[in-house]
Formats: sequence, C-alpha cells, structure tokens
Amino acid sequence: MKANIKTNIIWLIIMVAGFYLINTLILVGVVNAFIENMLVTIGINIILATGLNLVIGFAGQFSLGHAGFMAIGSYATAIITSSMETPAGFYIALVVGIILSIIAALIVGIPTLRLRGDYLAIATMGAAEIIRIIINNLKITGGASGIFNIPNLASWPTVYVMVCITTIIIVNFIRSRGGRAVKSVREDEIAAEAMGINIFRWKLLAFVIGAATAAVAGSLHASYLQTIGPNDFNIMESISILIVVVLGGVGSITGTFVAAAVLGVIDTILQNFGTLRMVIYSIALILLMVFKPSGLLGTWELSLQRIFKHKRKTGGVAND
Amino acid sequence: MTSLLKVDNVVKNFGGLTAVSDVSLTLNTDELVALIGPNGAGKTTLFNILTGVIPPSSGSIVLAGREGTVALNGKSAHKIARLGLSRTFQNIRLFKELSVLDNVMIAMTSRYKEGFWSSIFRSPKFYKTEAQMKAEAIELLKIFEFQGQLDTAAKNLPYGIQRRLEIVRALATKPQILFLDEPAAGMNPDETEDLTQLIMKVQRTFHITVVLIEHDMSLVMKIAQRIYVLEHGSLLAEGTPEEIQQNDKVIKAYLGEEA
Repeated sequence: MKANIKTNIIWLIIMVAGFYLINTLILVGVVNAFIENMLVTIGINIILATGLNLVIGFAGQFSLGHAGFMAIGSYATAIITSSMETPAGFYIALVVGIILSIIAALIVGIPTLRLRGDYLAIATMGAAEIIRIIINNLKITGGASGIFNIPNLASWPTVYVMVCITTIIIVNFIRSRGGRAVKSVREDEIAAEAMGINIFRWKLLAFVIGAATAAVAGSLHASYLQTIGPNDFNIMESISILIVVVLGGVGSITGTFVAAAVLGVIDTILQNFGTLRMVIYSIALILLMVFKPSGLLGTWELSLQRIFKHKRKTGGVAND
Repeated sequence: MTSLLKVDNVVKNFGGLTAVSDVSLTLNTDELVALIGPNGAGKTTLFNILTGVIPPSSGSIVLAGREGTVALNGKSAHKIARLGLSRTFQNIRLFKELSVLDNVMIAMTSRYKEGFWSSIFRSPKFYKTEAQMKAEAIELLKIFEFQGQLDTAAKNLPYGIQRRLEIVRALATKPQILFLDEPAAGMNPDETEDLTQLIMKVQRTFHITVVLIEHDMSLVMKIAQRIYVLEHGSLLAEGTPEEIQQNDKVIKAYLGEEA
C-alpha cells in the first residue's frame, strides 16, 4: 500500500518536472516555435499510438481504423470551436468528440470484433474509410476542402496534460483486472473464455478506450494546426500511427513514447533534405525492422517498483 | 453423493458426421470419473459441448449446483465457466507470454469486481481488491509448489509443470466440476506418477468432481471411481474400473474381436 502511494507520487513529480523543464526551455529560448511544434506533434502521436497499442499490443486486435476515430474528434472540435471560441468551447468539443467516437467505436466494434487478424484489419480499415467519406460529403464538415481558421485553443501545455491523462488511463487500465483479461484474450481466446472471461466485452472495451483517446488526439490536432481536411485521416494516417506502435514494440507503452519521440525528431531533422526525406525515413524503418523486429523496446516496460526492488536488493537490505 | 450434472441424449453433428450421438450421463458431487475410448470416439467433443466451446445439436445438460438448477445448453463458455465448470486442454493452452501469477489471477477475473473508474483512478478499493486477488492466487499456487516461480513466464516452464499450472489455473475459477483433457499426454512414467498423486490431491482437497479423459489405463484404473466408455460417439459402457475391465464390449472395442 505504502509502496503504491510512493510510486504514484514519484510519477506525479516526474510529470510536473517534465512540464517545468519544457516551460523553462521555452522561456530561455532553447525551444523555439519550430521545436515546440515538433513536441506537440510528438505528444499527439503518443496519444494516438498508446491508444492503438492498447488495441493491438495488449488486446491483440489488429485495427487499421484509428485515423477514423481521430477524424471524429478533429471535426467535432473544428465545428464546435468555430462557433464557440472559448476554452470552455474547446473542452465541450473535446467531450462531444469523445462521445461521438465511442458511439462510432461501438457501431464498428460490435460486428467486426468477432473477426480475427487480417479480417479485422480490413474491416476496421473499411470503417475508417466510411467515416472519411461521410466527412468528405457533408456540408457541415466543409466537404473535400476541410475546415480553415479553427481557433487555436490547444497550446502545448494542453497537449502535455492530455498526454499525461490518456497515458495514466491506459496504463492504469492495463495494470488492473481488465488489463489482465484483455491480455488473456490476446494470448488465447478459447482458454480465456474457458476461464470465465467474456472475451467479446473486453475486446470491445479496449477498442472503445482506443477510439476515445484517438478522439482526444484528433481534437488537439484540429485546434493546434487550425486547418483540417478529410485527407488528413486516410489510411496512410492509420498506418503511420501503426508504425509508431510497431517501432516502439507491440505491447510496450514505454516503447510507444520512445518511438513517437524518435520518429518526431527524425522527421523534423529530415525536413532539410527535401525530397530525399521520405526515402531516408523509409530506410530507417526498414533497418530497424530488420535488426530489431520486436521494436525498439520489445515488450519492456519502465517500472518504478522494479527499480525500487532492484535498489533494495543491491543495497543489501533484506526486507520484503 | 448427489447428482450434480445431468446430461441427457446429447447429440453433436458436424455436417454429415455424428461426433457424439445420444450420450446420457450423470456426474455426482465429489467423485472422480474417467471418460475413455479409442481415438476419435468423441471424448474431447463431449468435453467441448459440456464446457460450452461448441453447442450441442440437441439434448439437454442441466447443472444442479451452488446456483440452483441451470440448463447449460446454449450458454456461452464464459458463462458456463462462471457457473463452475472448468477445464484444461489436450494441447496445453496457457497464456504463454504471461507470468504464472497472471495466469492464475486471470482465472479469478470474473469472481472479483473492480470497477473501471476505480481501477483507472487507483482508488483505495482498487488496491484492496488487487491485494486480495493476489493473496488468493499466491495461496493457491503455494499448494502446488509454485512459490519460487510466480514471475516466470508460463512458456518457460517445463512441460510437466505447464500441465500442473493449467490445473491450478482451472482451480482458480472455483469450479464445481473440473474437466481434465488427457493430462498425462506426453509425460514420462515419473511425471505420470506425480500427476496421479496431484489429481487425487486436487479431488480430495477441494472436494470437487473431477472428470478425466485419459489413454493411460494404469492411471485411469488407479484413480477413477467410475468410468464411462465412448466409442464412435456413443456410450458403450459405464461402471467401476473392475466392471469395465471385465466388460466384453469394451475389450472388443479396444482389442478387436477374436479371430
């Protein structure tokens, strides 16, 4: 019990320290607008990829429709904040986006989560395309040209706080009874069901949490970039989120953080290389997959409690 | 001894093939029953029907256990598991990448309630339930001598130990009936001997009904109180080990007719 409170407090301190570190770096001018933009992109990618990692890496459901849920969050924010240009408007839009995204995830998930592997990937990809095409053909969403001049209500601190909140939700879910149930579904559906696990319910819950966090990321994306169009949420966007997950290690949230950061930095550096950028980026991905197929961190996870235990052992104090 | 599970006229057709035809049997409380028969007799299919992996084509399965009298046919596997029918698998189906402790705790999922928000926000109730679950799992694992291996991934355990863990995992669901599908398959005589002791210990310690599919006749004859014999999907004989050993029909099914 005491150890639990201790780790929770240390995590809180780390989060607050991270915030002040970035804040100070901006104030002293080390982080300019260019780098700040990179940090925000990394943050949004972290939210997207941790949500997708829950679905793919922990629940073992291969979903290729993550961009569809992101689109719902983006458009909800764009439409609502365009007529309500206040922070309150942004938070209302955020909640509306999450709710719509959850409803869409239930509609998509209930029939498709009975499928497995490749079939599920194709079905979710189709669902995301349907969302995109609906957006492309509606008046309220601005059709193919999208929405411009969305008020900027999400600065980097908003993104930072949202990264912290979504990560806490996902990590805490994974490290609970629900997370174990979800992992058992990934390992062996027949055995899980024979142990009294309602596999369909847990799969659906993981899928819905993933969709809700994608909506949060979409909302931040719309508000920060101020311009969105239906093509921002096509299959390539789903795949680039998948790349972050696979690169970091399927089933490692720490890995997702590292991969999102590494890719964000590589992407920013390569902007100087013009057309060669995508070639170098692709070669980097291929090399990583050849030499480290399980991703940067595999399934390794940063754990404060493990560090404490290790310290206690090496310190030679024999308690516990 | 009272009747716990009544199976009446269960039939299972796969297209034109009748895998289980008109099987009726009764399981009583606190007994050890074996289900034997040549390969392809429909033993595993019958297990799959009883534990809800596949629905029967017709027939009735009624459980008269701690939750009162419940019809099981048509219920999904996870509901049947919650009603107290647990099982192991012919080809081990552990959660391979997960730790020994997690394997057992997963089987306890449906017995403990831990609200979604309570686990997200780490309420004191969450830590309490989590500690209770962990304590119960560790206690159960200790009975089966797993104390040094709680954090070992299931796939890294030796074969015989994996079989043992599968039995412990099934017990963690608090079953009234435990179905063991060929637990001694692939084991050497020493391991089989250990397993024999283990099954008897499980049955006696937990006072549950154990049903066992097994090809190792020395094991079956040693521990079973009653034996059902299946052949070509239908019930050939039922009785004590002595009766079954003397039964002409059974001898014929196993050894063929005398020339």
